[in-house]
Amino acid sequence: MHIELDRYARLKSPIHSWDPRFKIISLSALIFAFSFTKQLTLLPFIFVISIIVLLLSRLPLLYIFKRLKYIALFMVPMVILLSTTSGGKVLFSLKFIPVYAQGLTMSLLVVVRTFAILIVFFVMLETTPFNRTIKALHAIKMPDKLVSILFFTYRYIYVYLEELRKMRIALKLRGYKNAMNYHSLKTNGGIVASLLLRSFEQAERICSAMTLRGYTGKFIIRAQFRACWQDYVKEFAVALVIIILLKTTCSL
Amino acid sequence: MHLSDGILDGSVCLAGYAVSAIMLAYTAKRISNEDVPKISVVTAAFFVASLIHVKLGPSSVHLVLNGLVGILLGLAAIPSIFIGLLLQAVVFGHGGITTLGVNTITMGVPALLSCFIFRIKKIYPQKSMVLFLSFICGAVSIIGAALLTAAFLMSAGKEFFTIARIVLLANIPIMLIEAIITLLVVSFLLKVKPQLLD
Repeated sequence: MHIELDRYARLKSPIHSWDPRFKIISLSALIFAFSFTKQLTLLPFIFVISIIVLLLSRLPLLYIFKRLKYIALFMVPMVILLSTTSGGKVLFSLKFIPVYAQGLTMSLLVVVRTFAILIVFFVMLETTPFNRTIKALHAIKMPDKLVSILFFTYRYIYVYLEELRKMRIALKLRGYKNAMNYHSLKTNGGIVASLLLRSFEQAERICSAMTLRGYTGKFIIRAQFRACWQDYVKEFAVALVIIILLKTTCSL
Repeated sequence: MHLSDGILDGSVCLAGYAVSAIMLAYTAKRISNEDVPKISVVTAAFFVASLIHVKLGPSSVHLVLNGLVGILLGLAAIPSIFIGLLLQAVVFGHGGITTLGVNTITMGVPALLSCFIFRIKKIYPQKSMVLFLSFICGAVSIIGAALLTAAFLMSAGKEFFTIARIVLLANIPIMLIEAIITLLVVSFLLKVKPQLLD
């Protein structure tokens, strides 16, 4: 499995050039403002706002839609369940299955909110190289230890993905097939155990190697951030949108 | 199992972040700086291990392993789970970013619980007891996470009550699988490197 996170992080756009510290704070606030919306009348607006953010970022639309496709697949069963089990007024019946009005409106709310949130989240994520995002998180006062864990874990995920891939090939060559029986469970348990065992053993060596190179637990950043007036203007624009959104949510 | 974005109300999401921030602050204080690389590497291994799918009837489920995180990392399970969930949202786009705090609670609290349950082995160190405890940890961690998830779902409105019930029922077979996997992994580690379990 190959994960391409920084594929489009170096394009040119107003969102790409935005200081990551400002970007993370403003767009996260926007995401939360989305999650506060409860009225159906506001849904078109939050959807349009997220689309505007997406268009401004100049990320390839096809790529973002591909990432959203998996989430859409997860949402289908939820929408079906929600609209047939919510209770309340029956809108119409499909043979014996009642479809409830309340469940249907709730599904609409959830689906639009989810997509609006995820579109903005993907824009936030994909317009900055991930290493720089981590440094920006540190710059906006995420604690040292958490930033370090995030940084190292991100590095080592790829190492263990490779280990898992090798183990799967080895299993395949020996004629293993995933099935629902004790043997399969035992094999999977074995994979988990040996992944963990390797990681614990490797961790000790990594620790010593890092200590020898002067690691003391402090997260040292090289990237310096400097905000210019455009960064403030963009933040102000997003803040305005958020205020209007929250105001209308409260007053409606 | 995690709650995705868009379901919960913004205030619940913020409260989730607040509570998990307290849990993170408390547990991170207990971690020494030298342990940070170790926790990270093990978190990466857990992240990858949770990509393993187990066949269940016509479909398959992925491993959750929060009980095992609790057994092996102790209090550090909370930052480990938080970072794991954050990376899941970042890398795969599912899991949820507004619900990151809530999901840290639903997965982390049962992990801590199983960490405490597993400590009973200090009083009864027989092998059969250790294996029994690991089975219980695996089961408790899933059913605890399912109960918390269902509770948060119900906070989203009464439309979600039936779905919350379905989530609970669907997690019963997962609980069994997870309990057996936890037991198998612990018995493997007991044979190969028992000091990891201390």
